[in-house]
Amino acid sequence: MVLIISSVVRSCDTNEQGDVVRLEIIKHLSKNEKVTLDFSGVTNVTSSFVNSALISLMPQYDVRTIKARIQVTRANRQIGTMINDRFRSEQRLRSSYEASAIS
Amino acid sequence: MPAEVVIDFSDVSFITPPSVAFLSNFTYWFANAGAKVAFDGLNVNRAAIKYLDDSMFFEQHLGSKLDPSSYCRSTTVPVRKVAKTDSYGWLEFEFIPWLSEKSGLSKASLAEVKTCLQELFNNISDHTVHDEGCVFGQWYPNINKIIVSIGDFGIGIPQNVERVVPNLSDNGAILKAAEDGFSTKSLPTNRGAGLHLLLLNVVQRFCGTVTIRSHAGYVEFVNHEGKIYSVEYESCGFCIGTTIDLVLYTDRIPHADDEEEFEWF
Repeated sequence: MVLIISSVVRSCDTNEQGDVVRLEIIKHLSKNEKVTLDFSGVTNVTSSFVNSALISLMPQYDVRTIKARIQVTRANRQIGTMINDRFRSEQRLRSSYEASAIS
Repeated sequence: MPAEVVIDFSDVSFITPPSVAFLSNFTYWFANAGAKVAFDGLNVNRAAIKYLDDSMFFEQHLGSKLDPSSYCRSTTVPVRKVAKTDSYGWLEFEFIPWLSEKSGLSKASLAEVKTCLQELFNNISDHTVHDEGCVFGQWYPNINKIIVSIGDFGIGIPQNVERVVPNLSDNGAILKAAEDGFSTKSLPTNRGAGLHLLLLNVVQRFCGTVTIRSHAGYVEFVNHEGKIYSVEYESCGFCIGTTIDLVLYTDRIPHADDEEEFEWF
């Protein structure tokens, strides 16, 4: 299923816009569908948007599942880098929480 | 708070672009607190005052320019107060088109710059009750350099960080706020990643600098051999809220296409 981002939100600046996209993604993931996020026409995304749209999927879906079932297409350098930066950072953060919880 | 505050410009012989944003912010802060703000020592024949007038500083604060012939220079984005809700339009339709025209870089190549500024406006909204900041931009065409300064009059980084990590110095609080993963918010949904991402993009990827002043804190972040280093200064004054200066060299920003192949990390 292809989700054209610009058809569901006007821009990708806020947590609220990220929430709209996340709910759309969950609709399809919960039906075991793969989702392709099409960023055509989107000039940039903020960390707040990515946090709400994608990072917030993490309690429900692990990173391996997200990477396997969500594809990103027609994204510019900034969008691609922001998504990967946020996932890397969140993984590091969660690993350090887990390490401190164990010790 | 005094009923009236007079800002005396008599001894001002030079003014930097970040000072324009700071001074504007400072003036709004007094006005918001209920003080009447007046300016003294204004001689538009002096270069610093002329620069402020051309930057539309006096138009913003007095309602008109000191010299009717003053005009916004093509190398500056006039100082103005921008609320978060207006920041999207300001970036999309004013600042980025202006910088794109000046630098010759496409909008896609400037997407990181746009995002960094948007993150700062989001931060202002998250951490202040006023939801607005003063912004000013100066372009230096001969060296492809752009300075953008954004100031807010919120509670400031030291007071904000104090709620989560107490007893840091003001410089220590700025360094803490810039750490990867640090947030005063608890959930990803209300968390930004503003300052760290700002440093990652402006300093590490594009070899620019970021300077943060908040309360008595004054820290500059620079690139040295591809890594981010912080330089702490002793502040000679007190910064109400937070002022952040970005210095970028547009010839160090690589060209980006509108669409690029995405691969998960």
